[in-house]
Amino acid sequence: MAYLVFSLSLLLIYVGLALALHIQFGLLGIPNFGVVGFWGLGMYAMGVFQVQLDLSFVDAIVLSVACVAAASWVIGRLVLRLDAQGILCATIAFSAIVALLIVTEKWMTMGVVGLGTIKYPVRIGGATEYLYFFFLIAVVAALQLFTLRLHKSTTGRLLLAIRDNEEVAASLGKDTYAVKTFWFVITCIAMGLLGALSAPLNQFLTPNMIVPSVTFAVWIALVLGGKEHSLGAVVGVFITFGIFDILIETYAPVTPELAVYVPNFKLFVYGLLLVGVLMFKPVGLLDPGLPPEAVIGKGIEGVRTGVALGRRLVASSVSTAKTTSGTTGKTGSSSSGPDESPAVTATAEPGASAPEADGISQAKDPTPEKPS
Amino acid sequence: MLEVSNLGSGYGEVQVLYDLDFDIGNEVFAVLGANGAGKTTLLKTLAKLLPVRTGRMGWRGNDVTAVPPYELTAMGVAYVPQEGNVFPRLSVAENLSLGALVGTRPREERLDEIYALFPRLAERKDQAAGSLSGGEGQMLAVGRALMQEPEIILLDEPSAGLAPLYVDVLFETIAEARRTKGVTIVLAEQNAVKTLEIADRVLVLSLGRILMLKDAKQLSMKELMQAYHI
Repeated sequence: MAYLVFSLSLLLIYVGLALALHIQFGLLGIPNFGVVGFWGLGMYAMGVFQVQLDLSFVDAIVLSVACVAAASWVIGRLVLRLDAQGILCATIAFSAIVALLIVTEKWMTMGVVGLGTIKYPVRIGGATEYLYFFFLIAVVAALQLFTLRLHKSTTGRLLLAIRDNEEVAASLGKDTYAVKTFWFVITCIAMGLLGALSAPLNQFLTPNMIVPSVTFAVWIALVLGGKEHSLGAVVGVFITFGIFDILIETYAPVTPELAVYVPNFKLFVYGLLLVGVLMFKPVGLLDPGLPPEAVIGKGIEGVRTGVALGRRLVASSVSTAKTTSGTTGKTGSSSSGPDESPAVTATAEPGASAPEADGISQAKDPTPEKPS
Repeated sequence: MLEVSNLGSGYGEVQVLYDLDFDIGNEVFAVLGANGAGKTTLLKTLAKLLPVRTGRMGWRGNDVTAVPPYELTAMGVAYVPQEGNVFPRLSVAENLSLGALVGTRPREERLDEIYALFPRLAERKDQAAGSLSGGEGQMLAVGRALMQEPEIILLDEPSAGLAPLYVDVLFETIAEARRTKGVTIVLAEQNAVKTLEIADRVLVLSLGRILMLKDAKQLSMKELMQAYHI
């Protein structure tokens, strides 16, 4: 159960990142390919302020967000007058610089040794992770509500106008460059905040968490879900991270022999889905014109179906585990304990696949009960 | 109202306009000329979307040569480009609402006035602007400019690519907007005949320089044909 809560917390972080990217790219047309840079800067700043400077959770969060705000303002001023390719290259370069500095500036980040332990804001025994999970739900829900309101506001329409035709938008009486810079900084702050909030989840930070695959995972989710729809980020992350990283990798009743192929199979299906969506529905699964209320209605229906399906899968998984346990007992093998499901065993296998090098995925290695 | 002296402008290293001197009062001021004469460049420069390279621009006695476009818009200058002048994925009502980002009167009040002036837009207010016909799109662009409560509207070839019937309707609407709102209109056009029907003064450009600046009533078609090298 602790692992499920941990996975769902990471899912919420991904939703938040995709929502921030939705405002940047879906509404404003800024192709930020340095998501992991802003997220990682927030996370590592949180680690440095908490571990090296021994600041409180709130102080560390505020200072981490301030660091990301300053960095994003500088990047914004430098790159937002460039065309899409320029912004893309500059933001990738920024994330690479952040990753490099984390390795080289050992006096601050501890380099490849890693930085920890990051503390939760409060510890209430076994309920700590659950409380933090509900806190993350509140943060991401607030971000989603803000996005929904932004879509219906004049400001949201101004952002779309700037994305579609900046020259005409410049004659509407607003400084388009200032508007772009402001919203770029605000959304990067959201990414940095989510990074800072990821730090206690991971507890121990290492440089190999700051890898481009985090950026790509967020982009894939957003493009799949619908980059222009206010709920596209949520739908995309639930399809990619939710179904594959949580449901299938953790609960699908696959044998240990097949389970090692699941991460690669996941990448294959991601790619297939992405190509299919880009070919047949370039706007993503959610059409920009589809009202959010209709999507929410369909979502509730889908969750009910999913829960029913999940129950059946779990029941089937339990019966498979019992059968396996009975068989191993007879043959005398001690490779897996009676409580371990085959899929979990496969996920925990070290170096199973390339995507496990990704910071968030790697952080899934369950370390739920570290001594504080 | 708007004064220009020794104005020069262009794109990159290419100079398009040379030493333009004129001023615009409360009138319909037409800018005519053959293709490549510099009409669009002049309007973009007046809207400050292109930098003033030489000379000076004044607005109501103030020097606005270095003022950015958004400040000029707030001062009362609206610009309607020739193409791509609406936001295609936004609805008609949303396009018009964006015009209300400047100005002081309530948005709804301004919208009602625009719908009264352009009943066709009222019928299609929830429709995506990208699905409008060319003529309706031009009406929407002019409507959005009027939403800005401007003192002067810079219209760049509004009749380009429109069917003759739509051209008539469009020019009638421009004349109506001038009558009811009292707004100054700077109209860059290829359609000289229709333009002369509503213009007070005419500036004829040739290769980026002023060929003539006259009252519309004093301009003969012969002079105009010479200007167009016909």
